[in-house]
Amino acid sequence: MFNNYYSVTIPAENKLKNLVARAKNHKINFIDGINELSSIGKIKKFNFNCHYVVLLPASSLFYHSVALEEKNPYKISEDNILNKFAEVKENFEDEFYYDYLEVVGESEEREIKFFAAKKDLLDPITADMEKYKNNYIVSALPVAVFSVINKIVKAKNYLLYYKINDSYTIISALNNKIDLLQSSVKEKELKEVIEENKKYYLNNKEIELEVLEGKSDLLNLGDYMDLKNDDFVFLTSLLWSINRCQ
Amino acid sequence: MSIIFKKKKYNRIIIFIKSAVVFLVISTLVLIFLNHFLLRKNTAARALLNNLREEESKYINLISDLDQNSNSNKNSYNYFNLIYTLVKKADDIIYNSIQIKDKHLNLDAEGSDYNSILVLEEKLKKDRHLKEVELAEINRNYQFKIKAVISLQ
Repeated sequence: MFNNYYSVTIPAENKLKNLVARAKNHKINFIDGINELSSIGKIKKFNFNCHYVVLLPASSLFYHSVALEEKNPYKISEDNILNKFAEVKENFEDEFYYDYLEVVGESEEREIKFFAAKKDLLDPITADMEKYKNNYIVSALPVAVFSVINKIVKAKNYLLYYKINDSYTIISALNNKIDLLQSSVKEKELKEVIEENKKYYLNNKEIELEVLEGKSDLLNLGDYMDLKNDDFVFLTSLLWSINRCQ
Repeated sequence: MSIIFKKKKYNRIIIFIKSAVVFLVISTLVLIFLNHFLLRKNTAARALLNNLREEESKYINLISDLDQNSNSNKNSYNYFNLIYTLVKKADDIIYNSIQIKDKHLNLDAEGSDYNSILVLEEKLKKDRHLKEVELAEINRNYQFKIKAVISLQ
């Protein structure tokens, strides 16, 4: 009955891009397309009957992959990970929000995919939602996109690229696990960077990556929704949000 | 698989209950204040009404007093007429006392002879302001008493 609305917000330069959709009975209706806003408080459906999701693009994230050297494989010491960043940045915990994925390779090698976002960039975005006590979640856009695509594609090893805020983000996946993340790749450099990545995996790991372009066709939605190619990121984010918040 | 930087889940029911409690408290305070204010207004209005009622009763009393005064004036005027009539109707009768009480007239007088007394009695019986005229007593010295009922209509 309630909470059928989903608001997906992706920060761009000095503004926010937002999409509000209504999902009910396996149908998704877009309320007013993708809008540019100065703050989340200006969303038309800004009320309590809405799930608010903010997804930070890869360009505004701090990403790092750390190999685990724990003796106990079932225990991850967060301090051990943070110590590595303390060497690079002082007061890391005070200045960043962070979270991580644990990836276990085929050879039982364990890695931590560490993501962090600056508090002073994130807090102003969520200020309105805290002020009016709206339920919300802030996550990483590349992880959300990867999470949705990974369930759909047949390939185990692939390279996915998608356009966001006039530049490209590249995600490489090995054995259906996120591996490398590159952001802010210009359109003219895209082909070259993709080739470099393919060669790297081929030469170092003897793996040939399947290249996937991030577009709506990839989602196999058929005529389910009328979409433009540019909406791939928002549509994927919306599917992730609905799945995550239901 | 997801990365969560920040997450807030507010309990809608608790927020609603808190808002409802705040609303009720404010409503109660407003109602108490309003009630107190209206009560004071009511008391003042009631006092004013009582004053007005007292004034009203005072004026009603004054009006009824005026009516009574005019009635008594009328009565006294009639009694005066009656005495005037009595004196006029009997030249040779000496009136010792004329007593009027509850519209009953007791006349104590002394005549020169029987005839003059009977003439007076007849005259009084014919008077439209007197009825039940009765010669109560009479003695040899021609002293007599006449009783009658006065009709002031």
